[in-house]
Amino acid sequence: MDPDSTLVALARSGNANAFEQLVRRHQVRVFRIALGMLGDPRDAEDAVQETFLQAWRGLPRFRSQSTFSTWIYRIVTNRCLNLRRSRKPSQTVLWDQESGAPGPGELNEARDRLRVLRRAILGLTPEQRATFVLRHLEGRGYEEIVEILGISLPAVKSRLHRARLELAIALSEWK
Amino acid sequence: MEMSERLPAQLQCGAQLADLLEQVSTGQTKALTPHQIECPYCTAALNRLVNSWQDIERLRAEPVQPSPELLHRVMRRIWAGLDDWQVELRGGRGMTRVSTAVLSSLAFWAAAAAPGVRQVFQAQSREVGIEGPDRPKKRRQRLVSRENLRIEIELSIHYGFSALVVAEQVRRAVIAHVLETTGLDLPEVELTIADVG
Repeated sequence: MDPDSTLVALARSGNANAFEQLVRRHQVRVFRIALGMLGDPRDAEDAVQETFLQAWRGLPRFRSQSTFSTWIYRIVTNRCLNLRRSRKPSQTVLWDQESGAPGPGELNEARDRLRVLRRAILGLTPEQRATFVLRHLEGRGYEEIVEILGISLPAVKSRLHRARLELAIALSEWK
Repeated sequence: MEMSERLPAQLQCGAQLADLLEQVSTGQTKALTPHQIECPYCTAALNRLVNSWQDIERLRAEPVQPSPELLHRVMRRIWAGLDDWQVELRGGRGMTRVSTAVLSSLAFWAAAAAPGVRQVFQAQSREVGIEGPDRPKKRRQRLVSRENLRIEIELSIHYGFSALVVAEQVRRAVIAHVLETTGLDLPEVELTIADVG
């Protein structure tokens, strides 16, 4: 049974405190997906906020065909996909511009490598990126990704395959 | 970081980069084929892919936190959209009111504990007669009279139990629990058995 089912039922009954517990439980993972998809922490927070509000409004129609977490991941992924598709390519992304104080050479290099990786992830198509983020940054299983994205298992594997290949080629030029 | 040549999709030995990558991403780097053991192209490519994959693992392990205000922003908007309907309780000196949200929670827990109940999907207190489009949209406090109060519960029951018996037990449990906690004698408890399992 879904570990969230009692809180979901209470929230569906209009209990906002129960919904607050659900937000507390899931906000970090939902935020991580949005950040991976959008690149900008502010955009990601906006997407997470709208995701939970949409979930609250949609609770009366949510009939536990999937777990609450799968359902909420589907909402945030769709929201981010729509945002990414409508965004102009020239708009800057901040996820790869994070900078800290200069540190030892090794630390700087590790940070540089992560920056390159983030940029490469943001260079994937939105669909490839969604699949990659869910699988490799969020650790979701194939079957759950099928449910979240509403596509077939072969399509998930194919997107993932292409995404990994793109990243491997992009990253391989850095020693 | 220094630049090096990009790996091609197909290595000089004919091996596909995608196949090597599949091997690395699934943690199969120790299970090398006889060709891979001998081949310098495969060995070099595998080493570079392993390094790249470690970066992905590092990125995955990076702590990510939304701002603490996010939760408050979400909840502020939810609370602002909620109706605050209340029922007046009989009492001594001064007025005592209880929110219908409290009655919903009491009904939920009473129903969940009743024999034969598998899961409660929702329990809601409603004022009979103003539902659908006539229901006020904006948050407002208003009194609901006891006579117009209705509790609606949707639940699933365990296989093998009589739906009618479970329903009656739920109804009695909810009425008793609400009466005991608030002194309110519910006039109507409506049940929907939506599933069995």
